Amino acid sequence: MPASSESALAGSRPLGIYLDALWSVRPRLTRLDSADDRPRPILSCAGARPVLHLPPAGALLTRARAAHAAAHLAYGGEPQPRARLKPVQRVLLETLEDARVEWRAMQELPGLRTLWAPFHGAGPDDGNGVDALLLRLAHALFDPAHEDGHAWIAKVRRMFFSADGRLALDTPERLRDAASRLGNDLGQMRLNFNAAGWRVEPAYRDDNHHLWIADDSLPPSATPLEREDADSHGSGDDSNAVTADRPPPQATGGADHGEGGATALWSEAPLRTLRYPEWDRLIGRLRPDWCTVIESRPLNVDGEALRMRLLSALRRLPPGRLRAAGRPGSGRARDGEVLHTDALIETGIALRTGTRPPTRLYRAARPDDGGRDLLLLIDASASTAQPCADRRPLLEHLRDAALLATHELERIGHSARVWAFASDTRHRVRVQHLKDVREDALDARVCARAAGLRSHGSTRIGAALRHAVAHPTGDRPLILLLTDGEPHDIDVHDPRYLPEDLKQAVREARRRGTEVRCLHVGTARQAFALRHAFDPGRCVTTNPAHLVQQVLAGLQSG
Amino acid sequence: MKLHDPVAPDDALADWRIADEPWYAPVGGEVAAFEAAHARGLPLMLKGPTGCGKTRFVEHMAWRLGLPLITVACHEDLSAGDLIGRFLLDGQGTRWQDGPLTRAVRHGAICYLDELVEARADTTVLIHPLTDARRQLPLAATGELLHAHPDFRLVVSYNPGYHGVHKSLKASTRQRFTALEFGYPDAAREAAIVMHECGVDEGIAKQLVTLAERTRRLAGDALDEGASTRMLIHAGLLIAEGLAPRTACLQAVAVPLSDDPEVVSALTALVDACIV
Repeated sequence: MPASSESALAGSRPLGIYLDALWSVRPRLTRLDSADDRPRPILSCAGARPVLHLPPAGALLTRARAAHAAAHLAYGGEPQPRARLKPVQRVLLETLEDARVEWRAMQELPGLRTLWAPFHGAGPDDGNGVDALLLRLAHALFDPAHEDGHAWIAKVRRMFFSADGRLALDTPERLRDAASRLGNDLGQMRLNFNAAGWRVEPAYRDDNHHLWIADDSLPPSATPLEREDADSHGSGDDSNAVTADRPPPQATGGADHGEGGATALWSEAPLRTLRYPEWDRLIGRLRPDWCTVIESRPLNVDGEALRMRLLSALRRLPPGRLRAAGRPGSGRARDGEVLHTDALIETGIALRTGTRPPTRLYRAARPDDGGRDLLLLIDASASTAQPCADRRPLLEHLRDAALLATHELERIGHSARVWAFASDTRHRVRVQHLKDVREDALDARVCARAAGLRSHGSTRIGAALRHAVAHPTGDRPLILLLTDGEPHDIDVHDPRYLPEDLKQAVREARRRGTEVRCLHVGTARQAFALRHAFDPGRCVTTNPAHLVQQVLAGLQSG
Repeated sequence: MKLHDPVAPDDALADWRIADEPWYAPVGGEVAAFEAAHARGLPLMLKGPTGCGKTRFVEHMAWRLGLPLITVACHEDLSAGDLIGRFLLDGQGTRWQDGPLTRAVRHGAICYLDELVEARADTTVLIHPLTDARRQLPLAATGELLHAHPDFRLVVSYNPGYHGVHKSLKASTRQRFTALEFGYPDAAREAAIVMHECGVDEGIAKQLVTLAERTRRLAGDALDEGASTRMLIHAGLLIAEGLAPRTACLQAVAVPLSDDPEVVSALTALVDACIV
């Protein structure tokens, strides 16, 4: 029995969007791996959400197949009982139903004719057996301009279309009646039909199993739909049906549920536990409640040394670092609301001396509306333990830069928080609060928490980002992600899965009015997936030496 | 066509008067609603998705009422000075230059603030004293308190669809307006608009509308918003110019709608399904 694997269907997201736009249908798309040399798509409508199993094929054939199956979903009716219909009559009914849903689809979307037409080429040269006649019939019903010349096909066409070119067989009863009579015609023509060898043609049409009510009394069928029923039962909730039956590519079973990754570093009591969805690029949908985010604070350690180092670093920060935020009176601009006194004096002098006056006559703008809600999200995954040129771990550089930058930005009216995150499978995405809104970044308690931060685990950015986006504390939220690598976790083997989820999370954030930027520490090559996820210019690669300035620039620009 | 008085030679708003009737196909009672608000001097807010005809409606109404129309496209860098005016420097010293809002208030025009929600909050509050019984505009820079001309009217628009939570109007601003909700026209009316604006035949117009309806199903998911009537008009103009319909739809609809290659690929397939 051929069975549909639950493996990836390449390019399923555009296909899903396409079908959604065509008829607002959202079947789950999976790849059909079959030993059959001429596999046909299988559409299962038994569960809460239809499933379309597509054999591997080129883009156009796959699109033609998906559009045809979607036409069944859009225009089809309830499944019928097989009772009292002979195999040839059932096949005829399927052929008529295929033609009917396609005819209606093409009435609405005429371009679909161009998509399906290349697969219809049958004519008198193909012979007069039942298989050939059915193929020729499919062509004649698909294209009313096509003249086949066979009397029986002409008769079917007269039954199928009314005199004014409309659809005559427009109810299940009429279709069934017509199929019954036409099957008798074939019997009287002494033509034998080999049901076991029958294959739906043309190749873009599905096997039509969904047209029939499952019949347990039948012998095992070559068509795996009945088996599929059990798979796609669903719980009644569409999205749950999606999430329950097919996890993303997983590592070995132990990795997903085991506690092997948990260490004492993460054993602190959680502040709260929340669940967030995750984007599955294979099904083109969010899996609801898929990731568990555990909020906590790092273990407190002695933070005095860190605090002293930050105070020292603060004194070494270059002057003018906050100019981009436009402190009052800090600069001149070509345009603005308040004239710049010095510029006016220089202009007066220039006019009297006949020299060229300055062009920037206004004071630069003030920070917008009293500041933004800033959140720095530090990647604390295991890779950040690697030492930098000064032999200090990268994580320390990220942490110090975040604290210094937030200290500076709060001085000019922004409010800022610092969180760190790391993951250990989707069941444990830890988010640690190093600094909250009303705390000074150089406060001893903040430094004690920050000093306790350790590198650990993986980088499931999407879940951490959703958590951050869900908890804004002020106006015009801006999240700056500080990371050294691409999204990754030990329970996901598909290298595109988490980057696509991040891209989706960034998109969701934008819809909610939260701006997300990324500062990547490393080489530009490593940041490919990150840049793909962010809007142009929103992901910058830097090195540890320029981190503070880059964080300040990242939070003040735009 | 309704004709208005010739422009007076000293008309300060001559450049903002609309001589020819902007074509507009009413979809409901919006013309009567606008006229009622105008009769009572009430500020008006037009809400609706991008490219659905809000601006064209305001132009049409300005022409219909014989009022000049001063339009300001709001953006996040729009300062109070951009609206009210500012001192400029020239060889003789400084001189005051009215901004578009002040000009409309002083001389009597409809001031149309397009996408008001994009403007900064401190800019938005400027319009508050103009929107209640006071109808006045204090000019802090000159010390002048400007009382609105009897013909001054304030109309704002915004698109509630794609703005984030921080991009909504404050209640103190919102509640000063009466509001009209705009949407995309129904299919037949939208096709008629496309035919009128582009000169394409009915078959093409219907296909374009079908395409737009399909993209609108993706709003909020694969797309922020579906294709607007304006996009269809762009496509229709390209077709009228001789481009193949498919090519025109890719250029005017599929490619501009999204930067996501997978979404553009789906939209391209959609164009193939809708357009022949």
